[in-house]
Amino acid sequence: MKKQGNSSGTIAVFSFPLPSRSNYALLANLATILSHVYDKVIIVTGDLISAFPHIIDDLKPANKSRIFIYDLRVKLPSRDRYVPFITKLFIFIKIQVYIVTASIRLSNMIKSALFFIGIPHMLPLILLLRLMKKGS
Amino acid sequence: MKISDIAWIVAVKLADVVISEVIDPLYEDPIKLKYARLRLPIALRFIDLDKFRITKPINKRVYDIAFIARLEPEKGLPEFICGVKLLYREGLRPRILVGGSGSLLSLAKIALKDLDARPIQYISHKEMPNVLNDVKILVLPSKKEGVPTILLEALACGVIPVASKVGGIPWLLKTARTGILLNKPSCSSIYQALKCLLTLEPPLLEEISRRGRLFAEKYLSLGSAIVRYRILEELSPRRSNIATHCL
Repeated sequence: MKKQGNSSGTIAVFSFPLPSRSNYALLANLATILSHVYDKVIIVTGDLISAFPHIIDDLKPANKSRIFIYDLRVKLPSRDRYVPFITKLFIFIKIQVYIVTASIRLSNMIKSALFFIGIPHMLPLILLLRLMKKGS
Repeated sequence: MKISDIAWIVAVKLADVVISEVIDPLYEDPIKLKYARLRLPIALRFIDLDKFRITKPINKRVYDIAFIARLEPEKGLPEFICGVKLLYREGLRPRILVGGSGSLLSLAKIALKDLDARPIQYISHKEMPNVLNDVKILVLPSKKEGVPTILLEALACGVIPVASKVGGIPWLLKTARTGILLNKPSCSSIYQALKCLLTLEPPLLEEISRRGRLFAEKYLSLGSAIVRYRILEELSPRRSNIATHCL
């Protein structure tokens, strides 16, 4: 995504990769509303693309040209199968690194950041944005 | 207190605004309320009101009662089955629809065998408006909820809800002036609520059903959601320093 200096009217929605398709439908619902309020809506999450066939209806009334997806290219392991703790921890750290990197890359493009599902997991990111706000 | 609770509190304290779907602070998660700098109850989602609309009058619908949720204990399925069985014991024979799947599926199948009940394991979102237009009463005896999408869709289709007093449900039902709130999602309270609704005169049922739809038109349209969210735009800083919001 190309960086732009003008952040006016841009909101980033940060969400941890979601565990189910119905959660992505909620995210699509939120993105649709925001696309009518903000000039640009950047959705930062993982695995949204694969959920697309299931949320396409939810996005129908959206102002699609205003929605941008920053795919973290990482997804949560399925709830239905056993995943060792060490793997889960590795995925969690990977998501943290990717999401913080995303926020740094997007920081001068956005005016507001909205945290959706998985808020406790995004604490490092919230702290970072808070510090960036203080520093500016 | 769990680590995740502490993380929640710190996150909420750091955010400029906490946005919530639950309008009435009485039923809000106390963590969000207590530590939020500013709480805005604006996050109620929208429903496709063209898709979810009344296509069949309530008195012509096939199923008297429906339970549509994950078939898990926290959704109150055992209490629902118990309440329905009490109705049958009393001679009432409502037609029942149970939609959903989960760990209690086999229990539900066995328990509903002697009743006039139809279990459907999977209802696609495309089929949902038709299914809801075949239902008079939707029972949601969950132990914990936020604002369940199925309840919003049911209101838009004129289904009368019987739901527990948790999360955003009390505000929804009180504002919509429809359905019955369960103080406790117990077997007897479900039985009493259902008995009350099943014995209502058809014109009154029609009136209650219409109220749900009117509520949906007022609060659940995309237009109304956009108006609610506009306040965020107004609150955001004019310069590039980032405002943070938690949902």
